[in-house]
Amino acid sequence: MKSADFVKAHDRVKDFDWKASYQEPASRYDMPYKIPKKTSDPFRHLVRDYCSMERDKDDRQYGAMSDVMARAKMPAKASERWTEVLKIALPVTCYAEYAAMKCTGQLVEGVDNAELRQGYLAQMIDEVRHVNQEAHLVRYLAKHSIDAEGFERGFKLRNSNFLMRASRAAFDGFFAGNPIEGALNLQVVAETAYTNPLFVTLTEVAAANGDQATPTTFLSVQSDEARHMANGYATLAAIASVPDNLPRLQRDFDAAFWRQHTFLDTFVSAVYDYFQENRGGSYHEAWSEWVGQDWAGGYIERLEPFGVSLPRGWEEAKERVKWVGHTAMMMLAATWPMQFIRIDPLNSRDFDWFELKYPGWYDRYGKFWENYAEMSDPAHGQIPISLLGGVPALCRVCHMPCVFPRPDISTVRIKDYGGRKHAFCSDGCERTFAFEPHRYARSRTWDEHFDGYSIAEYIEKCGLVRNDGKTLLAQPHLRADKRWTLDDMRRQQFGITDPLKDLPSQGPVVVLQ
Amino acid sequence: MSEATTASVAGKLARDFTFIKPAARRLTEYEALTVHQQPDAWGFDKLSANLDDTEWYVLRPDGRTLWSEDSTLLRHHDWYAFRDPAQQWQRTYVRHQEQQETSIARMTEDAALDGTLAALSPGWVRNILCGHYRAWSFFEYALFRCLAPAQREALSDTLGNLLCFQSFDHLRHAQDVVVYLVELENVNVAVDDDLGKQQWLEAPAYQPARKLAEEIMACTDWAELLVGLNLVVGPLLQQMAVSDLVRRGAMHNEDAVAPHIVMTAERDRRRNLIASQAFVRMMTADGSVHAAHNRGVIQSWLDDWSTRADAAARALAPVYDAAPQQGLSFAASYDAARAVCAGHIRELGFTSTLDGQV
Repeated sequence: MKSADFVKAHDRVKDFDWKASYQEPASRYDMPYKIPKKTSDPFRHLVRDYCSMERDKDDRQYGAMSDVMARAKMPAKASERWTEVLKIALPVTCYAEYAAMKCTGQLVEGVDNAELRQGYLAQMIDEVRHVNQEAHLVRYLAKHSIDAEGFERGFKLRNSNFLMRASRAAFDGFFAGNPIEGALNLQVVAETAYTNPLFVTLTEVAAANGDQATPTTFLSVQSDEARHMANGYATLAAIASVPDNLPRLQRDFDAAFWRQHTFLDTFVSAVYDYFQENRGGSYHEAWSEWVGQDWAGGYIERLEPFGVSLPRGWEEAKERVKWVGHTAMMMLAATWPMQFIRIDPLNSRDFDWFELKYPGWYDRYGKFWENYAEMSDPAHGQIPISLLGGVPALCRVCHMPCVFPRPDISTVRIKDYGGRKHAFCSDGCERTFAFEPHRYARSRTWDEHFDGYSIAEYIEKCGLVRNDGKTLLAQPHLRADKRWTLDDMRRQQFGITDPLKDLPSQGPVVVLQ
Repeated sequence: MSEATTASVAGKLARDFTFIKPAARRLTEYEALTVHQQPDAWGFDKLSANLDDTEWYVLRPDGRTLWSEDSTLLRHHDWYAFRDPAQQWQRTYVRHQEQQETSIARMTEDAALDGTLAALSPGWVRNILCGHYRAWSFFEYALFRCLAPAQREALSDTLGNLLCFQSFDHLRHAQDVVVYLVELENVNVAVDDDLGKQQWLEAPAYQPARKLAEEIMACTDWAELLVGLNLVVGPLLQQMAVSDLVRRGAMHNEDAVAPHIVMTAERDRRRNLIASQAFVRMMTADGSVHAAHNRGVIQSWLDDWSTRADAAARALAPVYDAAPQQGLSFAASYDAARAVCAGHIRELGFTSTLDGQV
């Protein structure tokens, strides 16, 4: 098609909407925003071009994986330390894609603008693509990696693993609220701020550690993300162009940023920094470039003339991001028997790298990792969580442990609402709750669910045992010997208790309007 | 939970997903990449029988859960048991659509170069392609609009993805009409692109269809859309408006491109019909405690949609006379479409208001 024809066709497909005269269309989603009819057009493709483009990309990605990478047995040659974290990271990412698909469905109904709708449709199919690509990668690694166990059942653990539960809580934000709240969580924050560190720089880490399958998949995923960021920008600019929308927009934007920050910065930084064997850059460096400079310094600042400001909590997040990954990783390692991955102890080279990248790291986390290495042998008999006195209270909003940014300067608070006690990890999460307590107050945290379970009972219930029926799926090392078994866990005194039962309340939640 | 995971791997190392129960003997690629991607608070993700099993991290602003059984009138104990008979996942779906679009693009290019498009009669171009087919692109757009949020609400991943692909089908078809007219306009002066929207908004022949399109966009029951669109609107109304008026009409008016576009839409329509038939069979399967309830709901949907689609179909009668060379008469087209539609409905064990005398 000639370019003039393309422009003409493109203009015409933007004119599909009409004003209803017989019945108003469905409006099942709360929409506290006014949507302008005309906006900048984020999607400069026709369905025909889209299909051609995506097919080419699919052929390249799946072709490479099924052909040369499988024949060369590349997944089995990747760093085992790195490959282990993919068992949890990929199902987490996959749910983000699934939730994104649901977000775009809400946007098609809620945003009465034909230009934006066609961009949302393409994103909807993209998200199905990403779910399929990432599930395919998990299945591929189950087939080809050295230790398949964990890959073959990770999706099943989505609701029983406490870190995966926190990921669900974060990504539910893509479609739990009004369509614009979803777009802010998904397109404006998660995709625009975080997909670059996740799908671009993290793939450099993967490649440096011998993993070619993840970069092949993730870079193909990321090639769609620019369109999604454009969808987000066009949506945000459209909403911000109506002055009446601004107070609510800033409130939803503040909440969306904090909602995604509490999980994504914490989780991605732990994945990024602690599973590298062949070490390169740090998450903090990647974050400073992509989130600090690109997103906050470029993208969001461009919106200031519209009246949109950097989100509340931005300065606090900048400080937190230096520590939250280390704290999360300490929690993950401390609770290793309840995970489904093997977590390699850190060596002296790792220690040097952490101190170089995060000055002051050793004073705060070094002793824990020395103890962790010592306790990795079952002959030692102890598990690290028993030294920490149990699992901390979990935040009612983000479902992360209330130990951030660091246990010694935690911003936890316990409040009452609706006859129950609720822990919050931060001002941001308490504020989100305070605006709409009815949306969060019913939920149960992981430790409320499993209160009273011994560690062995938990492991058995969740199916965290290998195919021999006795060896644990998780291990505190990568060795083939000295593996922990269910019997070792039966000897442990540690049990899961809900800490909220014994923690005093600091007063009622002050509900905000 | 532990029974499902440990039992399936006991004894040998599992190198494939152990958490999906395949519909047949072996797990298919479609199943592996689709099933259980959507959380299931009532089944797959349920943590404990002695706790509130509707465990959600956050609720919607109105207090409802993120997926809700009241999103449809139908009931089923396991929505995740549904399997798309076409086993489509994104790669197979997009590859199929890319093949269809490439074939349309090549045929349009060839028809422009060999003079076929320039030779199309003004009556065919103006009355049918611009006045009717372009008007119908708005109907297709309405189906895209209603199915995108329907996928959001569907109660399993296999059903949500199905609706997602069908939503894409309809925007593809709507855009194909636009793109064809843009290319035709370069060589044929009879093209009047504005006529379609004008007809859609004002011509009496399209007002029942527009009314139906607006009602469809107001329908919030995702399962009702699956049933009504594919078992009634497709076989009756789309058959007449697109297959008979455009495809069959084009063959009598020397238009080689329009039938090709329609045939790709028909291929999609057949896929969606088969999927909806499978869905209805699952909902009404003998032995299901909800079968009788579902049968009653589906029967009422079929009756209601048949009445409304029939009104839209009857109103199209004048359009049959607008083609310079008439392919099929309205009466023949209408009778045949009603009979086929009623046949599909009867085959599933329901009665059809489309049976019998007009």
